[in-house]
Amino acid sequence: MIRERSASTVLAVLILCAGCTRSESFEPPLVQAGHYERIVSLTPSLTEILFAIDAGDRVRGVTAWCDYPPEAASLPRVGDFLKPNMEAMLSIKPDLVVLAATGNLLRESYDNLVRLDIEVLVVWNNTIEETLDAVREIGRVLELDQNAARLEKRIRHDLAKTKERFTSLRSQRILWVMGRKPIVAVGDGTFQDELIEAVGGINVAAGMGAWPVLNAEFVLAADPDIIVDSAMETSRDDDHWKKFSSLKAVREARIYPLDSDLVYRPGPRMAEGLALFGRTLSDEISSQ
Amino acid sequence: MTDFRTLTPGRWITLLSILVVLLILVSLTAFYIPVDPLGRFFGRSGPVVSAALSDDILFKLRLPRILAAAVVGGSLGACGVVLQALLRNPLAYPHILGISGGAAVGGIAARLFGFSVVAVGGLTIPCGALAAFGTALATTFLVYLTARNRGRLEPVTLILVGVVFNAFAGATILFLFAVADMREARGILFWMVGSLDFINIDLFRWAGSIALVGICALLPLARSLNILTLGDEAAASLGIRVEKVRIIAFVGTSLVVGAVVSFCGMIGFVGLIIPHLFRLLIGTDHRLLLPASFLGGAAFLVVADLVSRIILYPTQLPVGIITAFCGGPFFLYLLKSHRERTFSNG
Repeated sequence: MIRERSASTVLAVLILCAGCTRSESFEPPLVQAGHYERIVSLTPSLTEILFAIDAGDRVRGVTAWCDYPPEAASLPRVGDFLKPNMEAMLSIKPDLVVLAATGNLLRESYDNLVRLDIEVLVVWNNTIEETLDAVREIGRVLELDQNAARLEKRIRHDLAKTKERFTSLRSQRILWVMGRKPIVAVGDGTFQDELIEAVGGINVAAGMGAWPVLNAEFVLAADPDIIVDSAMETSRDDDHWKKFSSLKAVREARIYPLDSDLVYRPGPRMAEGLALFGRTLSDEISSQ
Repeated sequence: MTDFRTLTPGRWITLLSILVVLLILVSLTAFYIPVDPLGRFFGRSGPVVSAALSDDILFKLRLPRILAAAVVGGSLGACGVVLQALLRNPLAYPHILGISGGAAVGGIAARLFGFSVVAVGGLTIPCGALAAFGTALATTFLVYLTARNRGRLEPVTLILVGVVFNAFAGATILFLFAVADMREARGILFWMVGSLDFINIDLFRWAGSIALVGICALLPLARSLNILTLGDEAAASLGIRVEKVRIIAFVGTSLVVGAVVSFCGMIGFVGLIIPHLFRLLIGTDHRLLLPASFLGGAAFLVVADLVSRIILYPTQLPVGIITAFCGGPFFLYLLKSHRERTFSNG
């Protein structure tokens, strides 16, 4: 059960301050390229990137949620990016900490680390392009530009190839729900929104910010063709949607539980995430 | 405002009851389906909606939610009145005795341990709610045992024990929060902030009935509460069995609060403000104050829920934000405009 849920983490914060928008004004200073030997990763998707560009042997600490590749899972844990354990972190004596910018929590984590004289590399990876930028940036800082370029090329190629596979989903109106109580949906500018777009679908929760908290009446009125439900209760309370017989997705049995790190972690496995998303929605994978 | 005081108790109750029913009807139907409140306001008509859709919206979304808002608001208002009298403390509110904290711990723990739904007597109840109610009862019992001193339930001891229980529950919740998967954070917030976003009529039938039974048990206490506010000695000399009244009031409010919190979390503000609001409007006679606060709390939360649903449509706000935003300033206004008389009345 312990996995990265950067999306959910943001949600948790957003539910309290619904309507807050992320401030992007924070521009950390450029990190010098160098041969960093003791790297700590505070974000599971960045851990995956580090391993994918052959810097895995230089990673000395990861978060409690870093479980891919399997080698990463056996590295020392330093908490998570919400609450990194500073003592565990310092005992590793990192020369570089990498973390992904997620909402308002970024600034605080960043300041805490800089105060301890730790070099901090902040990258954004909320979208596919941002993630590819992050791959290049990490490659530059670690002087592994060629590996990074190769990885970027492979991801782009795989994504393009995967996209073509799911023509049956074109113009389908899709609602992707992350939480049910209240209903929190995937909105604009998220990796998940891009997955919907990549298979040719239309996100019915577009235009309301990144993680809109939806009025249930809106969901019924919007009547999406497909509902993707990543809420934790999915496997335990299958009848949640069934009572709304007016929903087209209910009548046509097009409600899909989908709860995999592949669709939450914009990293080297983005194309696999897209493939999983597409196959699930095209009924190629049975919905359990 | 002064005119309110000339109303007879019967008229007050009638008036408030009509208000609650009206507000429920307004909240249920007044807004266009699919909701386009501004459009309707300006006389714009929307697309024709299928009967299935309006049925789903009216009976599966709005009705349970609005009825729940009424029962929850009413219960919190009434419990606030009883606790303020029982504890002789104007700052008392329904969550003060630690019962709500206990309920929240139970609900969160059940969720973290992965329990889901159970069927109780043909109704499907989420385990979280059941566990919350269970721990609410257990907490009630513990608070009672701890606070009882030589067979007496002193207000000051009760408050202190309640505050300590709340602090302990808060620490437990923070601990669970610290060890939980981040995905569970949402569930934890639900208990802390309170929400009417459950879409489960079975749960409402179950918890709402318990709350209403508790309220019915509290209503006959009104006269005794009047006398209790004079002090224990005076009350005893007037023939009130002080301890019996206290225990009934304590157990009754705990039952109601436990039931309410178990399905909608800790909705704040209503239980503190509504009793004071009606004390300002209609005076301190609990025979009127108690039912009036029940009806007033119901009306208030129905309106707050309506606002929380439509103000940012198609997104929505937690109802607790609305209750504090609208209720706070309004209450301060009343306090200011009634201050002179309140003080002169002692």
